[in-house]
Amino acid sequence: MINKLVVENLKHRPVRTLLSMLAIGIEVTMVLTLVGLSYGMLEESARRTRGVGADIIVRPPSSSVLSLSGAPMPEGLRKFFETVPGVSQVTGTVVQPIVIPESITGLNLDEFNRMSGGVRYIAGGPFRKSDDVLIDEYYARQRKLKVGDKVNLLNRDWTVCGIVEPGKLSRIFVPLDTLQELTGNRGKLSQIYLKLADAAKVDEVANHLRNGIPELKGYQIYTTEELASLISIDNVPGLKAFISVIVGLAVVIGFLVVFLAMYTAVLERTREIGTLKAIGASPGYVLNVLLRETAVLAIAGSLIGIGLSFVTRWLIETLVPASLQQKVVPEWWPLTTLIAVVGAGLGTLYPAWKAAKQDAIEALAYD
Amino acid sequence: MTRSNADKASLSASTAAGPIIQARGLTKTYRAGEIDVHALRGVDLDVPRGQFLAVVGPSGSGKSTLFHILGGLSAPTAGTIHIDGHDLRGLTDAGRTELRRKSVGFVFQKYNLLPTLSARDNIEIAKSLANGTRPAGFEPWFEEAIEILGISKRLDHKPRALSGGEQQRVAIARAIVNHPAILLADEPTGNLDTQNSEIVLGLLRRLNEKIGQTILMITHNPEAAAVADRTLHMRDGRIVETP
Repeated sequence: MINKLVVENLKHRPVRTLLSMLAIGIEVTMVLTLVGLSYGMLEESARRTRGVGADIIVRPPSSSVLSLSGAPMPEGLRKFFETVPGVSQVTGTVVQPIVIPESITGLNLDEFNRMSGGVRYIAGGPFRKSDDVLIDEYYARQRKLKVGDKVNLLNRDWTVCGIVEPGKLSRIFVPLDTLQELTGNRGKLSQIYLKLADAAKVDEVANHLRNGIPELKGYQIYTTEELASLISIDNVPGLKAFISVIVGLAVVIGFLVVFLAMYTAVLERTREIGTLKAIGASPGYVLNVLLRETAVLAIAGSLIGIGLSFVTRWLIETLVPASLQQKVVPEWWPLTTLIAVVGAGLGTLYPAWKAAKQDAIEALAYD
Repeated sequence: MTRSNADKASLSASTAAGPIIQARGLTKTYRAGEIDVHALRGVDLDVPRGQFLAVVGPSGSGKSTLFHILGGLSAPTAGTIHIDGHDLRGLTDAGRTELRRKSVGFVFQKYNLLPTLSARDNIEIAKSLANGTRPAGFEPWFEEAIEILGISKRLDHKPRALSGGEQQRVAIARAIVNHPAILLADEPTGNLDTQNSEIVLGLLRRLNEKIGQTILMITHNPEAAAVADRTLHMRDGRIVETP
C-alpha cells in the first residue's frame, strides 16, 4: 500500500516529478559525459599511438606521457637507431600543438606507411607539394573540408590533398621538412618510432636502449604497449581531482533539486500528512513514504541521465568528432546512480524529518 | 517492561463491560505565548458502548480539544481516560499512534481524504496501517456498510471526482473499516448542503443502529445533534448540562 501511495503521489504532480527526474538526470549526464570524455579521449590517443605500428617509441627527456614540447631530439638519432640490432624500421615525427586538443604532425609519409601498414585514403592521395595537408575523416567532417579545400593552420594556408581513415597517429599530417621549417625545428624531431624485426624481442631491445647505451640516458623509451597503458586518467595531472570536483557538484545539485522539490511537496501536503497521522501513520511511515518517493526520483533520474549520456555522445560525434571523443562508461552507471541517490537522499532528509515531526492537529488545521 | 510494551499491553487489554469511553477530571492547558489557555477544566465523561453522543457548544468551549484527546491526537494535562478498557494515561506517541490505528476512527469536517488515492485506496490504507499488510479485500460486514453508505459504485474514483457528500461517506467508511471502538466525527456536516447533511447524519444513525458503532459527534448544529441518542453541552472547558 505504501508503494501505491508513493507512485500516486509522484503521478499527482507529473510536471514537478518529471522536472525533478530531469534535473537529477542532467546531474548524472554531467558526470557520465565528463568521465566518458576523459576515458574516450585518452583511449583514442592510445589507439592512435598503437596505430603507428611501431614497437618502441623514443621521446625527448622533457616530455610527459601526454604532451610533447617542441622538437628537441636531433634528427641524427634516426640514423643511430637504424644501427641498433633488432631494429628494422625507423621514422621520426614533429608534433606541433595548435588548438587544444588538436596538433599537427609532420612526417615522412613513405616511412610512416611502411611502418603502419599504410594510411587508407577515403578521398585524394598523398602529399605532392610542400603545403599539402592530409586530414582524417573526423577532422574533415568537423571542419567540413574536402579534397582541394584550403585550410589555414599555423598562420599558413594548406591544401587538403587527401582524407584518410582515422586511428593512426594524428588527425592532421603535413610533410616533415615543411613543419620543421615552419616551426624552426630544422633537423629536429619530437618522437622517434622504431619497428623491430622480431616484435617478440621488444622488451629485450627496449631494455638495451634504456640501460645499454649511455648516450640515450634521460631519453624516455617506451614500448608502444607501455606508453598506451600510461595514457590513463591516473597519469593526467589534476584529472582525477577535476572529476571528484564534478562528482561533488553533482551531489550538491542533486541535493538542492530534491530539497526544493520535497520541501515544496511537504508544505503542499501538510494536511495530507496530518490525515495520515490521524489514521495511524507513525512518523517512520511518513518518513518512509518520502524517502521512497526520493529513491524513485533518483533512480528514474539516473536512468534518464544514462540515456542522455548517449545523446551527448551522439552530439559530440556529430558536431566535434575530431576534437572530442566520449566513451560510454557502463562501469560508472552504478556509481552515478549512487551519487544521485545520496544527493537526493540528503536533500530529502530535512523535509522528511519536518514532515515526520509535524503535529497532526496543526497539520489538520493547515489550509 | 518497556514503555512501548506497556502501550501494547494496555491497548490489548480490552474489557467488554463498562462504558466504552470513561474520562475523569480531564484538563488541558495550552501555553499560548506567555498566557496559559485552559481548554478543558475537569471533564468527566462516560459513554456507554453503542451510544450515539453529540457534543455541542460554542467556539472555544473545548469541544475540539476533547475530540483530539479522545482520538489520541494529543495528551491531557491531567486526568484519566479509558477507551474500550485501554488506559490512555501516559501513552507514548507510538502508543497513541497504535490507538488511532485500531481503536479510533475519525471523520473530519473537510473530509481529509488523501487526494492522490482512489476512494478504495483511501479506505485500504487505513486498513493496512492497522494490519500492517495490504488487505486482500473487504470483509462481508464492511461490504454491507459500504452498501449502506451508498458508495459501492464510487470506490474507484479519486476524491476530486466525488461530490462533498460522497467524499464524506468515503471518510466515514475509512473511519469504520477497522471496526474502531469509537467513531469521532468533528462537524461531519459542516461543509455539506442540507440534503447531503441529512444523508450523512442518517447514515451515521444507521451505522450506529446496524453495526452498533459508538459515535461521538461534535457539532454546532442543534438539528444535527438531534439525531444522537444523547447530547452534551460544553462551555468554557466544562460539560455544563446533561439530559
